[in-house]
Amino acid sequence: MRRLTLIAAALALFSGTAAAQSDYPTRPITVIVPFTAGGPTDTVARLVAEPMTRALGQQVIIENVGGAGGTLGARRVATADPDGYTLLLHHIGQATSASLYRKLSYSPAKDFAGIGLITDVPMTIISRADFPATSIKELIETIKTKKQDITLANAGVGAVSHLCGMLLQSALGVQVTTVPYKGTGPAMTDILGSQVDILCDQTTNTTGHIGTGKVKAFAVTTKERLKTLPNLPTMDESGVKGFEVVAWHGLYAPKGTPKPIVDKLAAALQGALKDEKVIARLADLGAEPVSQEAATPAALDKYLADEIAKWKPVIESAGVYAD
Amino acid sequence: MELLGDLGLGFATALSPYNLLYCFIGVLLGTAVGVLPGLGPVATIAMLLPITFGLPPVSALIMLAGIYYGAQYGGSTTAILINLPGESSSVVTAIDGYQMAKQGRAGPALATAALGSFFAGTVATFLLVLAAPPLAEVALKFGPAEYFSLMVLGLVASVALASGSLLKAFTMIVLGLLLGLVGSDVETGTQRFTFDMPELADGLNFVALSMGVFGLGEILRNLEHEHSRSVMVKHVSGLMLSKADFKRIIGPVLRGTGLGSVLGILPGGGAMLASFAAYTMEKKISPNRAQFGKGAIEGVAAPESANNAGAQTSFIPMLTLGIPSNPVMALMIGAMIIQGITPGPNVVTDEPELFWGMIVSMWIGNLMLVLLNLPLIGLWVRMLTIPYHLLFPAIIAFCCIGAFSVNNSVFDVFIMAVFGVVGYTLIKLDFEPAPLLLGFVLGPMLEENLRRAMLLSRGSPMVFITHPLSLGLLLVAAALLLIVVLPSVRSKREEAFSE
Amino acid sequence: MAAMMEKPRDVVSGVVVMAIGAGFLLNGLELERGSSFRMGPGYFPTVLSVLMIGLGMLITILAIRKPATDSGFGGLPWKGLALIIGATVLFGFTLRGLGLAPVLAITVLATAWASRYATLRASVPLALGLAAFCAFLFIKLLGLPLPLTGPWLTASYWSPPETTSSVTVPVEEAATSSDATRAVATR
Repeated sequence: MRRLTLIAAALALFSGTAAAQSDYPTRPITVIVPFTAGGPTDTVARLVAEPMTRALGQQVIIENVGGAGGTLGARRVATADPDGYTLLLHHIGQATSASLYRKLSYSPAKDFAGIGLITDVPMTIISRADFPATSIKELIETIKTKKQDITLANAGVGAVSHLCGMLLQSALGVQVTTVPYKGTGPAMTDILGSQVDILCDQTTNTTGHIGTGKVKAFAVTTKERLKTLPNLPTMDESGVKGFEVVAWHGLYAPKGTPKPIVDKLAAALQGALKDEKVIARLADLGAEPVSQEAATPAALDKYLADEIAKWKPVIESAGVYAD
Repeated sequence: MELLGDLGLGFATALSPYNLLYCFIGVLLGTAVGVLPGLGPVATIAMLLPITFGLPPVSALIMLAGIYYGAQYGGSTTAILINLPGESSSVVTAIDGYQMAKQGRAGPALATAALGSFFAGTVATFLLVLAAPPLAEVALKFGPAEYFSLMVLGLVASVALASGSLLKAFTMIVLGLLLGLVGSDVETGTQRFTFDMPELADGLNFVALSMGVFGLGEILRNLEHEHSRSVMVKHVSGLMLSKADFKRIIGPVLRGTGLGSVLGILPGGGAMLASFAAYTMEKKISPNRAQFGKGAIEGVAAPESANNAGAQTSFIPMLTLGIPSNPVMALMIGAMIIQGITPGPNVVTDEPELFWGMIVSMWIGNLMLVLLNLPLIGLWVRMLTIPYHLLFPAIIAFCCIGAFSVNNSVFDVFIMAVFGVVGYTLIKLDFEPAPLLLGFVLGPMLEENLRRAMLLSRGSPMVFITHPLSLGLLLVAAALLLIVVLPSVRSKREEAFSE
Repeated sequence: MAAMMEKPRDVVSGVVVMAIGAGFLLNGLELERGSSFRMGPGYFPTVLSVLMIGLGMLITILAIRKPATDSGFGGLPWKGLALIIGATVLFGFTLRGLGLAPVLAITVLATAWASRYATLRASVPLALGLAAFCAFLFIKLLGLPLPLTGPWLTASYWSPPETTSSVTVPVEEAATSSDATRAVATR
């Protein structure tokens, strides 16, 4: 009832006509980033917000609502009015939270209307500089023989590095000793200081260190090799068939947002992903914008469903939950 | 010499009118927002971060660095004037600084903070210039075992923060440790003491806790004793340091600077320990140790120098390795990424202008801070002459906004209210809150590193002894414990006999 | 010097500490403790809670054994406690609905009343001045994502949906509030 009132109020306030949707947007749009300002997801959001602001003719504001692995911010959007003025920019966690959190008060699959995919940040498998293995083949052999004696760092439960580590263990069929950290920074510190053996993390964090030889890089987790790190083989070509982890980002509206509004936002997003500055900055992060076909509501909805299905068994067999 | 060339480049960059202006704006904004009660450096930077996104990278980072130490400086001012620490390092400054302010010596306390910080900042900046890369390598030798031992040392040291009962101080540390457990367990993701509230999954927020315990608690205490239509400070004696004051702070400033510079390099919370390690040390060796907790100027000089030195040297792991040593550095790294710079070891070689410009600008920014703040001392002190019944509603208003701004969520406002009651209860029961806050900050790191060290050693507790650095730290902690506990046990016994 | 430990107060302190320890212990019971070599999430909480209970006992025992010296409690400023904590909680509940400026004015007015020297003549200007100052600083300058005045202050929020078409929109308020949010620019 109150919700209805609010929508009605919004319509009355900001358009005064019944054809409100065609005027959209008539006031600033808030994109909720469920992580703190300055993080990698925030970076992506701020990059696309600028060209989207130009395309929509209204300010696109980033609001950081961090906490609980991104579920607090996502919940805020899930329960927001579906009027196109409150959106969510989330990463792969949108798909994995469905399995990682057993007590989630919203449904990542059902409570959102996808607007489009944005970008994939690839990941790399690295080790401390004095680790004995020299190639991905040797690394896999070492992991398989030494099992629990191998220490695998990650940036905490639910982090992309954690997901990659889980997938790696399930793909190789071995259990290693997992060493969780609070964030990538401390995990990377202990890799650099040779305290732990292996880490699988986003190129954003690893490329600089790989360049100086302070860490050893073995493989990338994408389907194809990267332009920025052409010497690294993919996991797939190294014998771990179908192994793929990318930190993908998507833009969502609350479920029930009128289709014309979603389409207008998707068009603005597609435009933003063609923006040269956005492309250049994403390249600095070792990432590329997704293709125009992927920056669409249908593509995101399908991808989200696929990713939820992909991670469910991995997380459940690992038996690790974030609540 | 290469260094001179680098420094020349740094000065050329930092002294360009444009960058000088942004440095000034950063320092000014940082001080202005940081001085508001309830808003410490992290909240200030998070709020001001978007402003810098439109600037060229060098200017943006220079401005951000300015905001950082400006806010830190402003935070110390609030800690001294109204006993409201906006971050862990100024918890210690508040102890003696606020007592000084109550005695009408806020001027000298603020001047000490300004001069001590400037001196420490200068020394630490030189250290940064001369030896950043090798120092960063040393920092990497610190593994989980070493950090655990360091945290133990820190906890032992924090007992010394209390001026009253040792037993009660220890109780407060344990309570702080318990409160630090709230949230997701880092290793397994299990929720502990969150009562199914997802807002608590990342733990209690330091700012909300500190604003509640210190801010609201102190206000309630003051209202209870509101006997006269009083201002907080009746008479204000002198704004500047006397010769005698000056003599007293030289030693503490030097020692604080040394300790802060060393600890600041450690990315796992070293800078956080710096201020109260320095305080504890002074309390043990100062000839005026009886005055500590009652308004000793050394108790402001040492932690403020250590704090600022640590703040500067904590840039070392960030600039040379791309490793954030605290939440503020994490924000800085985010700013770099947004600016299109990949933080990490490449920054020195790929972006020498940025690297050296930023370092030099830190020194210039510190200089600006002193020049800006020394004349402001008179103004701050006059603020204390505002009638208290007009001052405290404003403090509460700012605390509410400050708590909200941390996560843009009202949840932290409620947490603050709860801890206002807790803080007042503690005051009523004669518990001092400072050790609680340090236990709260150190607890999670203590547990995390203990469990991580045990994981890495495959369950052998011998790591803490076989690693020489760790062993050394534990021995120092044991020695300190003896020094702290023995005299009080002896005096207790004497007391018991005399009764 | 003899009054280091005051009897009734420290007995209460000890009991409170024990209660806190027990509370944490009970709440942490279902957490897996693990072994000292492989500590589970419940290991630290258990050790600390037990320590806390022990400390509480020690404080109580020491307090009982000491001669009573001073009650040391003082009165409880109920009015101040209720007003200040109440106002803070109210701030939290009404912030998004009313907007920053009105909420601040209310908070300042309410808390000011906790002092026995509060007068309307001083408190009202203080409340209005602070509200204006904070609104300008935090919304205009710092871009805090908050409305100046919230949706609860618009007539249309309170009117039933079927009459919305005829509602006279408080244009000024709506305009200022969206202006304010617009200042949150991401450049």
